Amino acid sequence: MKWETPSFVEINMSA
Amino acid sequence: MIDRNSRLRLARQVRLKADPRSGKQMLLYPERGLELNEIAARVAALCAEETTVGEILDRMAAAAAAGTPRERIDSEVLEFLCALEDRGLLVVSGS
Repeated sequence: MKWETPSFVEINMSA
Repeated sequence: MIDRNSRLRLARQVRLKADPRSGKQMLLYPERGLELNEIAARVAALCAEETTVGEILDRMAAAAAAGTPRERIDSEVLEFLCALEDRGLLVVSGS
C-alpha cells in the first residue's frame, strides 16, 4: 500500500 | 494524550461508512462527518474494535509499501488519532 499522510475533510452534515 | 500504550476504540455514536455518492469512507457522527482518504480510513477501521495504539501502528507499518520510514508512519498515524480524539470520536484509556 502506497503511503500517504492520513487526512480528512470535515463536513457539516446538517448544512 | 495518546501514546503507544493507549487503548482506544471509536466512540459509541461514531460510524464508519462509505459515502454512496463519492464512494469515499466517511466517519459519521451527529450532524457532522469526516471524509477520509485511504490511509485514514484504514486507521479508522482498526479503531472499530478496542485495540492498542501500538497494534494499530504495527499493522499500518506492515501494510505500508516497503521503504516507507517507520518514524513517518508512527508520527502521522498518531497525529491523525489525536485529531479524532480532539473531536471526541475516540474512547481512550490506559495512557
